[in-house]
Amino acid sequence: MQCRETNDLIMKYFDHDISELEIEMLLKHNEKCPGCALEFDAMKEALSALEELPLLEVPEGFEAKVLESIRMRDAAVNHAQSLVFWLIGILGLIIFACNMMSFVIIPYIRDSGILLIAQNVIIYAVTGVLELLREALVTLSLSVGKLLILRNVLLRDYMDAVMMVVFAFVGMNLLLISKLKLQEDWEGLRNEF
Amino acid sequence: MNASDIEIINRCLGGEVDAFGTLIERYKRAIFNTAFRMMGNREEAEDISQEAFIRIYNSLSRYNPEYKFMTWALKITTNLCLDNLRKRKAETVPIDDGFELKDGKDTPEEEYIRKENQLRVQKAINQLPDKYKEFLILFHHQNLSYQEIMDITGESLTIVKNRLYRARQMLKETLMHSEKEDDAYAVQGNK
Ligand SMILES: [Zn+2]
Repeated sequence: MQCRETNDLIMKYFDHDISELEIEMLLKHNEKCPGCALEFDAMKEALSALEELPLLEVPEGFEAKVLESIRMRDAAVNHAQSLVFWLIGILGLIIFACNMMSFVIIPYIRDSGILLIAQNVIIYAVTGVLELLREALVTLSLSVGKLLILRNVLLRDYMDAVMMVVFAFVGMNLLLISKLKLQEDWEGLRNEF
Repeated sequence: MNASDIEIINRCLGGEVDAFGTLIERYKRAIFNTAFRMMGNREEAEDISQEAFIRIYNSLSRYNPEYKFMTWALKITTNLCLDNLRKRKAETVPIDDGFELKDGKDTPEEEYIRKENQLRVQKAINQLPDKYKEFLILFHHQNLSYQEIMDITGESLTIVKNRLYRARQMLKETLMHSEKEDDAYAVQGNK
């Protein structure tokens, strides 16, 4: 048997896929061939060291930790989902409202002429208010004019009265002065004589 | 109590989170030990095992009953390990011998030798390229068949056989090399 074939047998040996007969062939070859024997022994040592590595105990509380994280994640996912559903709901409502406005309510208003009526009402109301304002302004100016006229009349009467009193006073004084003068003149004449 | 995996999976899918505890109980040893031998230390192994079970739970609805549950769970685990190995920087990771005292049968010297040997093998595994490491651990530590390894890795029989062959050679070389180093060190120490 060749070394190449032995090499295959060595692999079959460690694959745990080798017959009794093949093991016998392998060992027989190894007795005569130190190279293959060394290869086989070194491999056997390495792999049994690997296979004999102990299985470790899993740390305490492992299940509990995993289940806890799963529950927390589920809760977070549910929370996020309900939030998303809320947002979608609100968004849907807004979109519905917009659609109602642009496709139902506004066309209805346009078609029914409410808009035109409303426009007319507004124009009527505005002109009415303007009319009222103008009337109020005119009335105010008229009243003010009347008041002014009235005041002028009163003022004139008052002035007249005052003037009359002043004239009367001045006339009376003049009369008194002239009377006194006449009296003095008369007495002077009487003394001359 | 002895419900089949499929029965338990269906209960989990029906919303019974606690039923998943039974599946964890059944497979945690294989998952944790595979992760431990791939990563070389307990902390990373525990984190990866937890993450693996969470991923398994989240994708239970995609489980294909044609495969063994164990195969599928190990596929998720080894993928996580390979991702983490790719991301990490080799120097920064501590190697843990994973040593646990046996029930007092061995003398302290025997315990010490056993511990040193295990550490040496784990170091040798850590030195292997990731894609060879995986095949070696699945076959020689988890005792899986070629078919199972093909299912886990998604590789053909030829590639599985080839990788395993190369991985065994590499492990043998690494261990022989480290043995020589140890001998040289021992001789130096004795001088
Ligand atoms: Zn030979």
